[in-house]
Amino acid sequence: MTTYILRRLLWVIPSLFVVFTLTFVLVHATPGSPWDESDKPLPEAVKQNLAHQYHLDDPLPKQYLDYLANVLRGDFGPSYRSVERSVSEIIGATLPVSAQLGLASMLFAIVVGVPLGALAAVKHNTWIDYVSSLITVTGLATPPFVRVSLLIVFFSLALGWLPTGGWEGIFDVRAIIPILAIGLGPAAILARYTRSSLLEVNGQDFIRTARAKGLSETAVVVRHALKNALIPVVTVAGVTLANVITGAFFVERIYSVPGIGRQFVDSVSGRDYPLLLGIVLVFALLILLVNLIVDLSYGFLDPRIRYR
Amino acid sequence: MRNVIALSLLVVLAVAACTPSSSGTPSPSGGAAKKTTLRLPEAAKIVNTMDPGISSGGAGLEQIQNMFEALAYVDQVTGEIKPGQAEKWTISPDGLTYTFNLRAGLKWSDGQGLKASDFEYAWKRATDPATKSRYAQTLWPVKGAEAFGTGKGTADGMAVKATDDKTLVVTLERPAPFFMHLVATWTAYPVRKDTIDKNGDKWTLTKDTYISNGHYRLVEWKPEQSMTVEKNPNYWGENNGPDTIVWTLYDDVATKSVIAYEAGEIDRAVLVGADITRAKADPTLSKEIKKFERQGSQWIVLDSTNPPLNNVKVRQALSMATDAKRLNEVVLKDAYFNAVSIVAPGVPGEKPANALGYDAAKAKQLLSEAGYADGKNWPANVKFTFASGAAETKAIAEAVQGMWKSALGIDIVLEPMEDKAFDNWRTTRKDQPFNMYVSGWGSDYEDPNNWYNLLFDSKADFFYAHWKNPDFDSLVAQGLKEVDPAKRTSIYESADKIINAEAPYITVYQWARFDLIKPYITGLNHYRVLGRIQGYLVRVNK
Repeated sequence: MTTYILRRLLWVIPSLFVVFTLTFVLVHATPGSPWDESDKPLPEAVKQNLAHQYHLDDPLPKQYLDYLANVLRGDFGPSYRSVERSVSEIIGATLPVSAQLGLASMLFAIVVGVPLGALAAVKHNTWIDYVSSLITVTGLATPPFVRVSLLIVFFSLALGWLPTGGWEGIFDVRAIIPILAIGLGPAAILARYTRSSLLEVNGQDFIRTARAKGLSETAVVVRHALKNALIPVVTVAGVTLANVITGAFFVERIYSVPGIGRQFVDSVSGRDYPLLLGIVLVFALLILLVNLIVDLSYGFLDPRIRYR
Repeated sequence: MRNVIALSLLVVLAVAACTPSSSGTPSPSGGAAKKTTLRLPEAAKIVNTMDPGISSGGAGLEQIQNMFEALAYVDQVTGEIKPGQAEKWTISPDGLTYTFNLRAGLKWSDGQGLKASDFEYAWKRATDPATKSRYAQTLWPVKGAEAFGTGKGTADGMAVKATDDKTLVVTLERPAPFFMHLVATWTAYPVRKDTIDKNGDKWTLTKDTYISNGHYRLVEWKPEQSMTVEKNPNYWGENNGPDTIVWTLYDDVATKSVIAYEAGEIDRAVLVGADITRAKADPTLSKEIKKFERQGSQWIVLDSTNPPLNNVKVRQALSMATDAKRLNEVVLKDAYFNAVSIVAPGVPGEKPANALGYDAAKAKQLLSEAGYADGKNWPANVKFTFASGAAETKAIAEAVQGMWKSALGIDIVLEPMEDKAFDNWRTTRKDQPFNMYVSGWGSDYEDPNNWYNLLFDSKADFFYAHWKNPDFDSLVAQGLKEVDPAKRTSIYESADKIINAEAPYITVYQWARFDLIKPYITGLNHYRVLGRIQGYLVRVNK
C-alpha cells in the first residue's frame, strides 16, 4: 500500500513536467502578446520596452529554461497584467475562494442529490420518481451560466432577497446563488447515479434475503441497499469534486466571485503566460492528487480491491 | 451510509478550514449624520495597475484621477486648463521653459509636506524604462526624456528640475503648445518616493502605502471586487462631493452594472447595445438615461497601398457609399452619434465641411471612373477583417457589406479572427498588406497633436493605413510648432481637408456614452475628453 502511494506520488513529477512543457509550447504558439490591446494600442517603443523588461525578447528556449528554473524554486514570476501582484499571490488569493465554493457546492450536491436519487429508486415508476427525474434532467441539461443567470433574475431582481453579485466569504448570503448554481449540476449527477445503482442493488439476492428476514423497508434500504449502492456514487463524487474546486469560470465571472476560474480564463484571453502556466500547474497537481485519493478510496469501500 | 456521512463531514471540515478568520465589510468611520456615499461600477481588471506612473489609462483611471492631482488639471465642465497643485506657471517667450510655482502648504494624504522634488521624482520615474510605464511617451516632449526612455540617455539628462521646494522648472526639446495638457495627464501626477522604495510594486495595494494628493484617498482595494475611497482631509482645496465613493468591480461592466443598478445596489450603470433599447422602452429607466458626447471616432481603416484600395477614387467611393446615419440609427440602435468626419468634432482643425459625406450616386460614378463600373473587374478577395468577439464590429462589417453591394455592386469577404489573434494581426499590419478593419480613437487631450500628428502623420501611421501625403505631413509638422492658436487651427484645417479628401479612413460613428443615473444623483458628468467621473463634482441628495 505505502509503496503504491509512493510510486503514484513519484509519477506526479514527470506528469507535471509534461503538463508544464506542453502548456508553455501551446501558449507561445498562439498568436498575440499581452500588450496587444484592442481599445487603445500601445506605442511600439513602449511595447518593445515592456517585452524587454519582461525578457519576452529572449529566444524561446532560454525563456523556457529560465522559467522552469524559477518554477523549481517555487517562483511563478510576475503577472504581466497585474503589476502589483505576483502569480503566486494571485493563486494564493483566489484558489481558497474557489475551493470553499466548490466544497460547499459539493456538500449541497451530496445532501440533495443522494436522498433524491434514493427516493426515486424506492418509489420507482411512481410520480415521485418522475418528478425527481424531471428535476435531475433539468439540472443536467442547463449549464451553470444559465443557472446562475436565472437565479440572479429570480432571487435578486424579482424577489430582491439576495445581492446580484459579490463575495464576502462562504458564510455570507452572497454565497447562496453561486453554491446553488454550481451545486445543482453535481446534485443531478449524484441523484441519477444513486437511483440507477440502488435499483440494481435492489434486485440482488442479499436484499431479498434481508426482506425475507422480515426487516422493515427502511432498514432494508438504508442499511443494506444504499450502503452497497453508494460505491459508484462516491467515485463519481470524487471526480466531480476535482472539477468544482478548480473553479467554475462562468459562475465566478457572472456573480463577481474572486475565484481562480475567472483568473484562468482571463489569463488565456489576456495572454498572461506566467499566470496561465502557474494556474495550469496548480490544477494539474490538484487533479492528480484527487485522482489518487479516489483510487485509494476504492480499497476502503470495496474489500475485494487490493493495492500492491 | 457511513461513507456518505464521512464524505460530508470531510467536506464540512474542509470548508471550515479554508474559511478566512474574518472578512468584514468596510464601514465609513463615525456615526455622524448625513454621510454620503456614491456607488459606481468599474471594470474588474484594473488593467495594468493603480500606479499613475505606469497606468495606460484604461479601467483604474477614474480611481487614480479621484485620488491624485497634477500641477494643473482640465476642468471637467469647460475643458479649460486650471491650476492644480501649482498656483501658477510661466512659459518663456521661446515656448521652451515652463516654470511652475507650487501652492503653499501642500500635503500628501498622510499629512507629510509635498515638494516640487516629488514631481521631479515622479516624472523621471515614469520615463525610466525600468518602471515599465505603459504611458511613458507622455513626457517625451521634455528635453532628454525620449533618450532616457529609450535607454539612450540618463535621468540626469532629463530637463525637469526642482530648484527649491516650491519651484519646478521644465525645459522642452522643442515648443509644444499642447504641453499643459500633458502636464495634466496622470503620468505626470506626483508619487511618493519613500513608499515606492519601501514597498516596490505593492505600494498601490493598501491605504497605508497608497499615499496620494488629490480629493480622495484610498480606504480599501479588494482586487476584482471593490475599491473604496474617502475624502482626503489633507487636500488643499474644497471638496463638497460625497464622503465616500465605492466602486464595485465587474468583469462585464455593461451587463452587470445594469442588473446591479436595477436591484438598487449602485447609483450609475453603463448602458450598451440591447440594454439601451430596453431602457428607452421602460417607463422608469427611460427617465434615468443620459447620453454624453465623447470625443472619439470609430472608422473602417483602409490600406491605402494595397489594390484596389490604393486608388483614391475607390476609397472615396466606399466612403461615400457608406450610409453612416443608417448605420448608427438603425444597425447600432442609436448607441452613438452619427458620423461627422474623420477627426472627432471639437478638436481644433476638424471641419465638418471637409467630410465627404454620404452620396451613393457620386460613389457609383467614382467607382466607375476607377475602372470598376457596377462592380465589374472588382477583385474577388477584398477582406474585411474583425475580431469575432466584437459583436458590434461584426454588425458594422455585415451592414457595409450590404450597403456596398447594393450601391456599388461589389462584394467583400468577411474575415473573423479570435480576439487576441486579431490584435496580433493588427500589430503585424505595420509592414504587411491588408484591406480593411475597424478601429477607433478617443482624445487623450483636446489638441490636434493628439490626432493629426500622433495618428495620421506618415511617420506615426498609428493604425497602419500606410497612407502618406507629403503636403499633409508638412502641414501637421508646421502645426506642431505654431504657437499662435488661430494660425495653428487654420494650418490643421488645411491638413484636415487633405485627409478627408483622400479617405484612408471611413468614419462609421462618433463615440458616445450612455449612462443610467439615479434621480438623487446630480452633477455626474462625463466630460467629452476621457470623461471619468470626478467625485468632488457629484452630489448625492439622499
